[in-house]
Amino acid sequence: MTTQLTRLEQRLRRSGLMAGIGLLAEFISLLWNHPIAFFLFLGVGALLIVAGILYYFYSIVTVHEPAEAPTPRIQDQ
Amino acid sequence: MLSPSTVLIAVIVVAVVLVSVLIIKPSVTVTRGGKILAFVSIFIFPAFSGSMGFSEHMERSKTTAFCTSCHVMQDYGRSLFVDDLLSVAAAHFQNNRVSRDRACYTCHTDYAMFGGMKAKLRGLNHVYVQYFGKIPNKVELYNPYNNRECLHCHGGARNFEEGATHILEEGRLESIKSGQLSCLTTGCHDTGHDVKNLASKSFWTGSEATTDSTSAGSAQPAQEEK
Repeated sequence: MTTQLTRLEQRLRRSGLMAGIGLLAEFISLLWNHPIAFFLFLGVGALLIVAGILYYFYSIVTVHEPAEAPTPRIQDQ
Repeated sequence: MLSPSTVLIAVIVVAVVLVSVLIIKPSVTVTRGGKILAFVSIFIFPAFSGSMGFSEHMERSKTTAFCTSCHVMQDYGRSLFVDDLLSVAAAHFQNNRVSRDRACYTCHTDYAMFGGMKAKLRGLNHVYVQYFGKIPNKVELYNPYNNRECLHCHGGARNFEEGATHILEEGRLESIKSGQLSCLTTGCHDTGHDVKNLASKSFWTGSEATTDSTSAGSAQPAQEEK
């Protein structure tokens, strides 16, 4: 059974993917002591990590999920 | 004790595991705990591991093995092992006057404000030239070698201050200190890296340090020339 993801969840998944790929690139770059590894870290790893973080913050401040139905308030007498 | 690299790799592994949970099941963010998980896995851990990774790469970029990993610099790395102590670079390297694993960075960083930063920016430019530009036939310094870089260690040392040739005539020591009289180009310590004559040189192979891949790396002389 598949459940429909909300817009915010889709965006969180995307930002998680970006950060995850960035982390993997960083991991690979650490296995190698060479200028290209530094560029891999800076140009792919760090860039994707920053993009994922920024997209995450952008998502949580711009996507407004419909609020759950409010529970009826008990009127104060 | 755990090395910084090991800690960093552990942090990255934890970060990847946490972010995988979010990628596989983003609906966990409905709950308060899920929201905290998202914050930790997308912001805290990646930011922490990214900054640690940057620091680690910056430290690695100071190593001799890193500098000599590009083809154009390999002869300069080999010149550190030349069996000729008139070569300033070889004498410093072989006698531990500079840390062997940071030999290039120790002598070729300007000891002035932003010296390290300038060296890094130039390093980035070197990588660009290595892969996308035209590599010059002769590698040259950007500016004539400044006595300041020598005096950073030798200034105040007895064998420098009282060295016979340094005090041979009045005012000579002051001229050296002020940079008017170059240490390298006035005929006193004029052989830096003798890369032109490497083919005819013999190489020093007498230390365990030369086989340490982290300190010497590709700076080691070629096997056939040992």
